[in-house]
Amino acid sequence: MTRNLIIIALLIVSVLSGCKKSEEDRVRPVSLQLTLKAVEGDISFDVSKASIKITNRTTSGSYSAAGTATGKVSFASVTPGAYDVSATLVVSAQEYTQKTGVFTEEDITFNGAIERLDVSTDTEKQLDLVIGKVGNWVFKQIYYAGSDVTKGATFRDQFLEIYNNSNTVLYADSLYIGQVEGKNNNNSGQYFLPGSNQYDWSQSHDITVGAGMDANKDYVYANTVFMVPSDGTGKKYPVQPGQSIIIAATAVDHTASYTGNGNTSVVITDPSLTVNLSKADFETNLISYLGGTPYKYDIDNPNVTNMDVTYFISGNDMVLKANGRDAFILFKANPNLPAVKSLPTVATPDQREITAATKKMLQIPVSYIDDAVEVMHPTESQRVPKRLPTSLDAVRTFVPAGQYSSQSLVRKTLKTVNGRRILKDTNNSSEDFGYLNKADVSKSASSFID
Amino acid sequence: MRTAQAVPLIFTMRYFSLFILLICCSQAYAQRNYQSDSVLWSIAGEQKMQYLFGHSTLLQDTARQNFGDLTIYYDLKNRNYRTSQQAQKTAVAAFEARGVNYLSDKIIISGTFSYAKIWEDSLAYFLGGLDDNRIPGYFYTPKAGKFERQTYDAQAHLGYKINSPWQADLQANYTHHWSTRSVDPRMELYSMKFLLKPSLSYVSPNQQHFSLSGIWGYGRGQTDISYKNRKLNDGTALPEYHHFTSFGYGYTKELDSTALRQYDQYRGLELAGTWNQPSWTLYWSTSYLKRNNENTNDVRHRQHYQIKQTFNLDQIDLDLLFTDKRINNNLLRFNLKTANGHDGVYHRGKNYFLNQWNMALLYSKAFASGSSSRKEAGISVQGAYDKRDDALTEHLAVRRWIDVTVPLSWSKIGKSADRFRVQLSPSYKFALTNRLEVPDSQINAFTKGIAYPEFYYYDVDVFAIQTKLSYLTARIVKKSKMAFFVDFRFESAASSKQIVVGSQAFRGQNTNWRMGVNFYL
Repeated sequence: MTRNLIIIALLIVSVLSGCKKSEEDRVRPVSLQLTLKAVEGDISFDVSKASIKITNRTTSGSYSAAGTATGKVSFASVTPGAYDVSATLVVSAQEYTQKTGVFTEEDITFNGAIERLDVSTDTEKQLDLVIGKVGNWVFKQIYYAGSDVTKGATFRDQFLEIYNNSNTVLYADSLYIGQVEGKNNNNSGQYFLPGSNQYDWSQSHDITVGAGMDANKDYVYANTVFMVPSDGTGKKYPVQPGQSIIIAATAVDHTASYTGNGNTSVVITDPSLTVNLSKADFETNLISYLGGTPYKYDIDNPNVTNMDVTYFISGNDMVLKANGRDAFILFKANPNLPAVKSLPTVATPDQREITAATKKMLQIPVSYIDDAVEVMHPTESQRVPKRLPTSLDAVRTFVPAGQYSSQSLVRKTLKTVNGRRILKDTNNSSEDFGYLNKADVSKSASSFID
Repeated sequence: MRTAQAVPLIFTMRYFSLFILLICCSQAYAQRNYQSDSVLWSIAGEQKMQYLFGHSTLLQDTARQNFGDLTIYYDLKNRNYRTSQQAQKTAVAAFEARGVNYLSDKIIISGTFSYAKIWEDSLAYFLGGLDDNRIPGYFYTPKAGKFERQTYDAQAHLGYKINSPWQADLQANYTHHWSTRSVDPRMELYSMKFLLKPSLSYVSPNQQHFSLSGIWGYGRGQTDISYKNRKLNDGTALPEYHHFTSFGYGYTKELDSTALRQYDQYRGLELAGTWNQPSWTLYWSTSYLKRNNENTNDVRHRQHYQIKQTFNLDQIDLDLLFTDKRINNNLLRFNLKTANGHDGVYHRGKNYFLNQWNMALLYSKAFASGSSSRKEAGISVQGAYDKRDDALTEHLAVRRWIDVTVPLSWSKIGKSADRFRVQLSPSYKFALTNRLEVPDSQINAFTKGIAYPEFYYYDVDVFAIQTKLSYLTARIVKKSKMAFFVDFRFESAASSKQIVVGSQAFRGQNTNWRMGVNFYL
């Protein structure tokens, strides 16, 4: 009996003692400390009213914090990983005028952003907030997603709507739009910037950079540029304050079936998914520019003025990347700056042997640009490195339903003055834009977002 | 790194066929000399048979009488009070059989088999199979959907008396599970588990039994996620359709890979025995089982499997059953289970820690056992401690609860040997400790969707009552008896406490109906 009791006692002891589990090698969360600085020239601005947002790229969890007087913002416990960091500071027009002596009617927005910040260990990082360029011309609506590939028009119905956000009449003559080149994968390597994995353009073959300029921050590299034609007067295409122009890829009625070039039948089975662009203000048509057999979908609508092709390196038509791997720029020719056509061209830095067949991008100084918007894929894992500098667009945006969804990005209305809508332009697209479930070419109230 | 191994479905089917044959033989023999109904129509009898089939090496020297029963039932659950990872409605159609056959003085065979077809409705946040959320490396989605599941579970045991006092046994267990979900994101899951348990026993002349068993086994599983509507996976317009992978209790990844392969390895030891005295018997057992689990990516996207995460689980089980040999017998059963686990590899260290204790104590006393109006009464106390600790996301959940049940039973034997039985078991669950700690800067989709609702679930007391009516007769099937039963359980959770904005507490009453037929061979 004693033996049995001993056995049972041993069993109980073994159960109780077997439950202590080693916690050696326990990992721990990390901290992220940001130091915010908002400086213009020699003047520093108080960042205590800044708002900071960090987003974990793995979990999609977003966390916010407010600025402090010292500029130091701490996230004491975060999951290690890569983070997108952004900060916004709105300085009142009065404060800005007082500090700089430069009169402004509108509040000034400072933006700062870092993508893919590695926070695998306790991290301290300085985040510089800069004033973005605020132009009179802005992108109002960007329909890059296209519509359903079987029932809609795929990419053929894409368009850009450009808006006069000023209080004076502007002329669209010699207004440029372009698409910016960037890397379409997240691989790291010798010719790519550490962290973002974007091209390190400073390593491009034979690149020339102005004194004190940064190849990656002070230039963008366009693969496509179109221009609104001009008759020499510069006043052929007036756009009233609060009015817009639509530039279509192909200015036809996409809600109906039609015959394409070469008698190709283009069938639309669900007109509700797409738009009628037959009354667009301009269209891009490359038939004469490219020569050869006309691209079957690049229909030339004689009633719609064609854009001039300034620079175009590949493809058959203006095709906005429906998957969101694209960025768009908008600028007006400036007689005080070198002509656009005379700007240098460079190959991507990973191209080490330059031949006649090497595709090169137009190197455009940031100072040329009035407005820029970068889009991205809605799904984190499908995103590629950001291609616009922070001063042009601090944080990218997207339509939530993604490619071929019929959704369009629409710039939000900041306020309405005497019936004229002033659109929000803080150079932070994630804040400035909303979306419509279906692109709207009406230019009416339904095409705005309050 | 490891190379691909397919789930051995062919093996499954062969094993299944063999097992059915075994059960049939067992039942045929069983009919000769045993009336299983008399064993099972008492709390003590049912507890004893459950214990012996759980430790089949003890069957050789304890019962020495053939036994067999078979149950078919339909079960319907409606859960308003639940966690976010439980279905609101569950229907089960199941078949269960077990038997033991003493083929000779030396040879014994026994086995169990169960098949269950399960339909679940309104189940979200868990795209998994038989494992619950304590095992990391599973998919989940906020979108509720319908599931269909199927589980085969079989145990076969062969015992042989080599030479007094030695006895050898071999037990094999096989489980096969399949699940599918019919709403985006669609899930297809297969899993299998195979355990082999060879034993060597010493049986003293006065029938004291000591056995030592080794446990060896493996498991395989594959989960595939797909979207019929690709737009739900591409965009962010409908985030409730996104799928996540949970790597612990808080560490989660959105729209990760769409396939998971899991490899399990089981190793363990079990000691079991009986302590026989003239007036009482104590059955005892303790076991240690180590489960090593590996989560890997899908081979379709890579040349080799890359182990994403490992999880090591140590399980210890102590089970004691005391019965005396009076006519109005007393039964005492004590069971203690612990499970301790931690993950590895994925985070270059240990991130997720699991610590669980489950204790169950049952005392039951029979009254008027020699009469035609038999009664039983007892008390059952169950306690649990559950701690989930996710280091990287600083999620810490600790909960303790205790459940007190008073099982009561009354049987009436009629003139034609028909029996009628009423069972009533009121119970009350007390929430003793319930903590959830998450820093604001670590709140994520897992916290809101799973951790908060689970916190609300364990934060309240629950009253429950279970009734079961059974009627047994020998007048329907010749040479055999059958019983019809209806079982009903009602649960009511206490009123809600404070709820965090943006999260959901599932509260209300639960009901569970079960109707079925037993056949006693």
